[in-house]
Amino acid sequence: MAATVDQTPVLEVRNISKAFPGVQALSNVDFKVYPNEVVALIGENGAGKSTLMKILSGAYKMDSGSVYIAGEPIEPQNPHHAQSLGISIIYQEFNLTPNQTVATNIFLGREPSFDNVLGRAALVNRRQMRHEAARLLERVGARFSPDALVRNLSVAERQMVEIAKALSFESRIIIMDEPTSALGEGEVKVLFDIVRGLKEQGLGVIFITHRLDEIFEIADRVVVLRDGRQVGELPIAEATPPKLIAMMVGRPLVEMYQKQDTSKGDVVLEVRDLSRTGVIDDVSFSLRKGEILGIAGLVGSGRTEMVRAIFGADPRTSGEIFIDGQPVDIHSPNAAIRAGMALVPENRQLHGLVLEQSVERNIVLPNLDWLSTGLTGLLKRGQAREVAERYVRQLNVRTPSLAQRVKLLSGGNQQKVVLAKWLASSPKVLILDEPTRGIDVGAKAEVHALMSQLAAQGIGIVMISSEMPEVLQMSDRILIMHEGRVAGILDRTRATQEVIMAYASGETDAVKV
Amino acid sequence: MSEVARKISPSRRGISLAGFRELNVLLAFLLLCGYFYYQHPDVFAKPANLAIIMRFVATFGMLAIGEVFIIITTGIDLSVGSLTALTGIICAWVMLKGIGMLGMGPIPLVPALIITLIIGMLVGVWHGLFVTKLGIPAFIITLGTWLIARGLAAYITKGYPVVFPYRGGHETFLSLGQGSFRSIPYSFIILIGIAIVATIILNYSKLGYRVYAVGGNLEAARLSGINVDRVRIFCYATSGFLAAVTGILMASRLGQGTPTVGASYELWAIAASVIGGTSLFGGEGTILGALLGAGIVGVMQNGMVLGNTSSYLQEVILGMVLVIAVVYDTLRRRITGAQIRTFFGSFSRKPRDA
Repeated sequence: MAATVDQTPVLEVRNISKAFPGVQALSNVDFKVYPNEVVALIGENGAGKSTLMKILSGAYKMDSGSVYIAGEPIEPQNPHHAQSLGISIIYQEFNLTPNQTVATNIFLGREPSFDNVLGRAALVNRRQMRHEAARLLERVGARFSPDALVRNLSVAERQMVEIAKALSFESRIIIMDEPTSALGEGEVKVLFDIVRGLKEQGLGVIFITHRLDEIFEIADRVVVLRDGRQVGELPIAEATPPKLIAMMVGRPLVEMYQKQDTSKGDVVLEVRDLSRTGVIDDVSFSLRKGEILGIAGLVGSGRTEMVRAIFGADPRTSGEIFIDGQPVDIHSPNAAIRAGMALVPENRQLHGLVLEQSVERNIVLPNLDWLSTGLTGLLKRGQAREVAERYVRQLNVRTPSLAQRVKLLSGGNQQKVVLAKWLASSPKVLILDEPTRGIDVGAKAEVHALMSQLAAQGIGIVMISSEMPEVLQMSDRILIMHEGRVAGILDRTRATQEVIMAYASGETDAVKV
Repeated sequence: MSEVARKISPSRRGISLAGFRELNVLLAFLLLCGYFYYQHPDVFAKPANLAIIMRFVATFGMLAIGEVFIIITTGIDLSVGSLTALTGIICAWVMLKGIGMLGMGPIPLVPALIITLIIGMLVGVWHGLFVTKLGIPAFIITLGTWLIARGLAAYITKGYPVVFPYRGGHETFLSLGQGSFRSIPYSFIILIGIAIVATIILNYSKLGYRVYAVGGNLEAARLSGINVDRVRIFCYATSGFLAAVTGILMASRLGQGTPTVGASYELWAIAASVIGGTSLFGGEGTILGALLGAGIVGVMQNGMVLGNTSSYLQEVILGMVLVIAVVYDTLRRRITGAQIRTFFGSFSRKPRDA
């Protein structure tokens, strides 16, 4: 550990608080990052990591508190401003233009120019740009040319471009948001070498991750957030995985909603040997009426891809699907819906809703067939409105009217509209992909209660969740995925966070169950 | 919170959203009419002049209806002007000369119309297949047809019009485009009829709901069980069909199939639908708006002719009206709610998601 107490921290966050309507996203968070130091920032989804990041990047304004760079108080106004102050953030989604060269991307908007009669920035000094880009690429140990087109680079190489770009701003602190989530094993090693290199060059690095094993490899210190609070800060030597997990999940489990026990009926959904080349491999499981099957696994383990293949949203290379014991040919979402399935997708704004349209229209959408007359295809408007109104009421969607555009609703209410549209289709199998991601605590409890209630009515539920407590509390059984395969299926009574983690990280031998 | 939920009022989209938006277009239309009436009091409101406007509006207004369907689903159809010429020639050709390839002589009215309409529709399906199955941008594939159809029309006829002989027994056909009912041209009545059917489809049928959903969010629509390809192909087929209707009416009105008719009508049709509130971002637009937009274009053109405005200048002015309409539409969209922030944010840096 290079950090010493008398050094000036390169970044200091003091008492930052930020509230959104209905949720305190951050309260009194403070920590320091010293030069030559890597600080891991961990916490469950919704712990406040991304809010903190957005404040540092200037995307959000903090309600109270202060930020210092090398002892100087700063207030980032926007991402560009934050960058000029020395804070660079590397997001999971890169911000590169694929059809331009590496050098162009690194200096996008700040191209070195000739100083001449035409004035500054009139003509790009391409040679200087290439030269400087090459120098930056060398600092990150990249082996490709600054003239390479970004679209020809691998994910890891693009990440290097992003890091080089961050360096070009003379950043003092680089924040990496789950930088390893899209990388293969070898690429992760390379990234870690880069991060160590940055550290040696005197930078501070904040490393946000979900993978605990990485922390021990790369970080000097760990800061743990939970529910917007900083719950712990440990030098890496004092940290152990159980300690960190305990800090992260810390909240007593009883606080959360517990699924009611229901009598399980016959098998309603059976999936046999489902594969999609390169994505999911030989997945088999069955689901009974009234059962909630939780799907756990790390980001990128193929959970979303699996349910999308079951639902016909993506093609599958092989595999059979049975509903109520009957084989069904599912080649499109339409076929899946006809067979009695419903999918509440992971990203409600992109895949679940037509944002510019009304609550009513969104609820009606998957139900058009039974809400219209067969011969003319004209909508039964009265009935459609009635259905929309019934589910808005049942799910307690807070909206001024059915005509309200869903874009204007809060995240939790948007999610309820997605649930409403699928409940109206009376599914036998309800697939929920991260059903409570990004919604406030109240709405979350309502969704959990609803799930329990639906299971009691005999609906089979498949629930993907990245939140351990949710998986443990809501599921009757838990299927854990690892690299596109089923790593294990556990009964609720036998599942613990540690066991699930072990399966999810592929260390099945470590636990004897 | 349950109190709020209880207060939900029934949807009033039909009146509030659509009605309000078209009110602007209607006001603009009425203002224009008032202005030209004031400028040319003895000519403008004469039935004969109104009939001229209506005949004109009936042509590209029909095409505008097709554009509404397509633009709602974030596409565009540049082919319809050329397709009007091609289908007009096909109609005249099969009625006067028959189908040489099949060794058939002149074909009677009704089958000839049906053949023409089917051909127009098939061209639309052709566009739809390229757009949906191959992922070719609508702009490109319909631009291809824009050239092909115009070229084919000239090639088939060797550049000469296919003329219906005077007193040649084609009076019924010719009356379609030339006749009128109490000084309202038949072609305009046909336009209104088609507009009503299109409105019913868009606003009251499940197909219409699907069209709007596909335009609003393609992936959400697909995951909601909608066969999005079929919906989009339907929209292109509708546009092709309406181009054939226009082609027939033009051939009838001119008494000949001419390879040069309908030039730049596609642009006027797009202008009419956009002026009428159809959003190029997709998901929004109404038939009524497009008709009013066509009315604005038609009245302006007529008014400028009455005022002896140079025909070159007319195009300049129409172009400016289109730009103003699009800017207005874009600003209106931005200025609603939180989007104003992204609008200004877009100047500095692309907004990012966490």
